[in-house]
Amino acid sequence: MDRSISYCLDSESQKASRVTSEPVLRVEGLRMYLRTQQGVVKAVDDVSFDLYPGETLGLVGESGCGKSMTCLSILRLIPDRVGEIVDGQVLFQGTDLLRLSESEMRRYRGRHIGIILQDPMTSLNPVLKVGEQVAEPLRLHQRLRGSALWSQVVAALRRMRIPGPETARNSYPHQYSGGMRQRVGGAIALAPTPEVLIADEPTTALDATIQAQYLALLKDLQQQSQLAIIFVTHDFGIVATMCDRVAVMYAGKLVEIAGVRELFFNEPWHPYTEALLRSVPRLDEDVGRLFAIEGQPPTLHDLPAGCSFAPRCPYAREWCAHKAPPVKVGAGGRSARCWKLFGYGQ
Amino acid sequence: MPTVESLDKLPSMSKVDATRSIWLRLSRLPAIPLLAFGIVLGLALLAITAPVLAPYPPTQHNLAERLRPPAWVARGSPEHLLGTDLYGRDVLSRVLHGARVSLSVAVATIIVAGLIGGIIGLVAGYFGGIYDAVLMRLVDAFLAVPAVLIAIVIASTFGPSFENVVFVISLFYWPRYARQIRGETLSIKERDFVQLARVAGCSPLQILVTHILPNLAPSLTVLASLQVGSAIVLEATLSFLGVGIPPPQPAWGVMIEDGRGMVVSAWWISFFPGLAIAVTVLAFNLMGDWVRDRLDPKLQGL
Amino acid sequence: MWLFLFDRAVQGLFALWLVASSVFLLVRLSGDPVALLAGEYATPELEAAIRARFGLDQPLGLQYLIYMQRLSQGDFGTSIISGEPALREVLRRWPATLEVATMGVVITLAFALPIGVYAAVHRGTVVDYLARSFAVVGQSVPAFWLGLIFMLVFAVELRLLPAGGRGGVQHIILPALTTGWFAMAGIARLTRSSMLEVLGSEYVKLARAKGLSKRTVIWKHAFRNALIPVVTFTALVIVSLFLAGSIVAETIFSYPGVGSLVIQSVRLRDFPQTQAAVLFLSFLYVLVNLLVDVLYRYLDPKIRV
Repeated sequence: MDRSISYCLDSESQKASRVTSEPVLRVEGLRMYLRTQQGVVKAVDDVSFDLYPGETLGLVGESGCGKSMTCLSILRLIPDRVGEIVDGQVLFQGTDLLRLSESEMRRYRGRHIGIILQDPMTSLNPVLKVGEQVAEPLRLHQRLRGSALWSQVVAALRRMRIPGPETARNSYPHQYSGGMRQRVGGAIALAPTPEVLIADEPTTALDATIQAQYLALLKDLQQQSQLAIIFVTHDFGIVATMCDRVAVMYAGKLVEIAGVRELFFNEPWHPYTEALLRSVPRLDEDVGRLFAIEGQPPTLHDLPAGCSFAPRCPYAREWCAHKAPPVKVGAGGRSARCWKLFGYGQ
Repeated sequence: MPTVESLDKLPSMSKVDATRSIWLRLSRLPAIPLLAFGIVLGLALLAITAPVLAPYPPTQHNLAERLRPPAWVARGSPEHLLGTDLYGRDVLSRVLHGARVSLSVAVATIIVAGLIGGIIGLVAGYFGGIYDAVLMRLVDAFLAVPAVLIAIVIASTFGPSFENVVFVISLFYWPRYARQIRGETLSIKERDFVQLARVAGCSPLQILVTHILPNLAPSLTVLASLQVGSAIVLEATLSFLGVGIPPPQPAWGVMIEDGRGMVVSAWWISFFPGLAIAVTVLAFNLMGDWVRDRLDPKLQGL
Repeated sequence: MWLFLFDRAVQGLFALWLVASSVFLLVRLSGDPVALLAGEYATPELEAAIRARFGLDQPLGLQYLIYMQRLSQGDFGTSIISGEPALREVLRRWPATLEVATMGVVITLAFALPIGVYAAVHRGTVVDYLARSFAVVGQSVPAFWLGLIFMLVFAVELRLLPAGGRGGVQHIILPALTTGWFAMAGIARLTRSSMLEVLGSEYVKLARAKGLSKRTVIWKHAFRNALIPVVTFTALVIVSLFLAGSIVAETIFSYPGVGSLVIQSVRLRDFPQTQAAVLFLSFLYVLVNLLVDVLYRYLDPKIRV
């Protein structure tokens, strides 16, 4: 734990000079509801956060908590049949993406906001060459053609440290391993030099050593530009090494945002975050029994009234089940939704 | 305790939801498969009772009544609801008897093709090795051979007949059964209860009969129900071309061919048997789809 | 790739050999091969000539060799009706069959693929429902009956298209439509389900995330992948289009191709002619099978590279 914090501290001090006051992405009150056979599901419920240039924001939570849905909603990639964004604003450098027409929105996708998907085995098109897949956003957004286009493609592949980028351009995805394919995914996302990168659990499907390499690579690339990254993960180890701030989601809501340092040094504000941190076993501790959070995450179409976490919360009082907790905002943008911070409504 | 926000707060959602839910409910109605089942059962009944139900014997000539149109057209008479053909034979009676012919061909074909294909598939799948290699090569060869052409050759050397038709159509279908069953056998073979039976010392025959065969039943059923429709069409096509059921037997394909020359002046002679085929095959196909969806959705490629 | 081609070619040859041998067997089994080959009205001299030519008095094994040898030389027997070498009429009519079959393939694909794609992209709407109904009904209606209906409606009632015979493009349309009908329904259905599966995949999601237009995503990314399983099915179906379909369509619309020749010669009891036409069509069948197999392998890079 100590080592990871000092790593953070180093990059923190490095970055102190770089963080500007304007967020490159501001999500405000985002609500996205899904249509299911059982009714309407609030997959993304009043999510708000800022993202600054050059920083990495971790987005953590259990499976089904809405992390990926939030990312897809930002890019407006939720199909009409499946769900709809019903409220909120997504401001990219001041422009509200949600109010744009579809064709205007397409100019942002891939160009200013890139995305790396989770499973490298399925996220690349099997019948198209690797080079072509990297070239597409360049051809579309920057209108590059011919040798200008292909030299950029090779450069993008080289930046992701793919060996033999000139021949890679003519290869097919199935000729590569998972780790390599994920690098191609990175090349596709980063070739048009976006301002924001959404990384949706890009290393979950990779081996541990490959994982470390990939993360280091991303970090390097970020340090060379002002790239802002939203890093979706359920692994706190990655949060500790990669992220500057972290946002915790539960049942579609953002329950806490804090700097990583604050979270690990000072106590987390939200009981869920606390429980999550406790469930990560430490190598230097001798525990008799692993800690697990009691209960199950709620099914989203049958949410309890009041605070969604109340049924599993060790600090919960009767008041918590009646009304949804408001947001407490602290120094440096740190916030959490919990009645504990407000003295349980007294 | 409120669980889901009421829909009036979300106007865009509720409008789309309303229309979509109608479609959803409609498509989930079992109406269509039920109707299909009903038709199939009705057909079976008609086929069995045709001799009793049909107002006239199907091959009875009645030259005084020839070329009568259906009852609701001018010159038609209620004595011959669907009209008569060139020889005065009652179209309705012939259509009813035709059901017998078509269904019996279909059933016979399924039994023969199923037996042959089944045994070959089982042997190839269970024993594997050289048996598998040789038998599958044979299957591939048969699949590469055009059945219609063979039917024509057989008909022109031996003459058209019921037996020949069943033979040819079975020839066409058995490789498909064999392939499917071989695949299934391969996977069932690896399951635990089969391994246990082998360890216990059961003979291959015992294992095949008591363990593997019952597990093949679902996909066999699916395959059979999907093939009936196309078997009927194939038989009708062969009869139409003159290389299937021979006239004057009232096979639907034969009737269509009979009426072909007069299709402009006496459309009903070809129309009703064709309609009968269409309805029959449609019912079997819908039923087969439903059976497949229930038993094994993976077979959708078929 | 070449090994595969070789293997397939061998298989095809084996199938051809099977057909030829079956024909040989059937003729010998019919009880009176001479009658079949020489016709009912043959003179004793003709019968003797036939016997000598095909070695019908020889032991079976020798007969078989003679038969195979003659086949490889292109001697498919002499037509009883015309007195010409049976193969000649076949070759004369062969372009007509090609016309109908090609047009059939074109019409089928031109309708079926877009219908399938459209139904998948607009899933759940009325269009989708209609498309699916069309597919199910289409697979149930016998093509030859439909051909008659088409003739009634388009040629007789509406007088839009000719009722038969060979001539310009308008003569090919109805037979081609009849031939391709069944395939159209099946291919549309399969395209739809394949597209649906592909549209839900991660790489399509990524394609959208790149900002590509809907059309590009559908056709460049989704369709090319959806096509792969469709091709094998299409291959099988198109191959039978050549046969059952063209035989039926040519007969209904009196189109002078090899298909109608088969039926005609059967009716006239001209067995050598039937034999020649059948063997020729079988050869085509095997050849097209092979070609389409190759196309399938080409489309899927996993196998090609």
